[in-house]
Amino acid sequence: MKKNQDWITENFEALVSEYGGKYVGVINEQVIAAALTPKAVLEIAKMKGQDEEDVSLLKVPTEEELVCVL
Amino acid sequence: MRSLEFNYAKHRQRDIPLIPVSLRTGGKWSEVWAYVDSGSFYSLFDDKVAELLGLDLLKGKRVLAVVGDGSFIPVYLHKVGMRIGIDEFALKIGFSSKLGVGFNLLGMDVLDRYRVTFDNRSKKIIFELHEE
Repeated sequence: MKKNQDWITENFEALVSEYGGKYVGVINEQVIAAALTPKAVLEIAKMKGQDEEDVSLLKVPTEEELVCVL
Repeated sequence: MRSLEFNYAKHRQRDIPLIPVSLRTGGKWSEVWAYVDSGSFYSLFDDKVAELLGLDLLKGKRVLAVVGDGSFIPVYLHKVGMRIGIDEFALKIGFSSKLGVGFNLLGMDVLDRYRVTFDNRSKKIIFELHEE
């Protein structure tokens, strides 16, 4: 999980560019699924044979949302 | 005192205090990332996380929360299990379909358990658990 954590923080900007407005699921330092809800992300991950407890779920903000927050 | 360190995420040269927390209401844990927000009294997650946890959103206690633009949003409080590192506890957190920000928020209800250091020089957030 620690590797996933580091990967997410290191690649956050790229995730915003590619997946802003969606949830992504990360396993083994890669995005395994992206969808509008975390439930849908886990369903895709399970279909790919992954254990849902291994999936790190990130709500990815859009560029516009980041401007508002920051 | 046990401590946990999390690296900041970065976006356009700005540091973002995001950390993973695990949530559950019964069975399996789900790891969901949240923005560490000392300006938020409650931890607030969007309604899609409530769905993930199998919660009926509207069955929670309804409160109103003020958001950044001064407007009020309805928030529904539900008791969940939360885990940060190896620290596992139960608390009520808020869920809303009107959150209107791009992050789930980890508020003071959780931060009160820890000594939290925003170490901006080393680009880390450090959570130290208070000994009982």
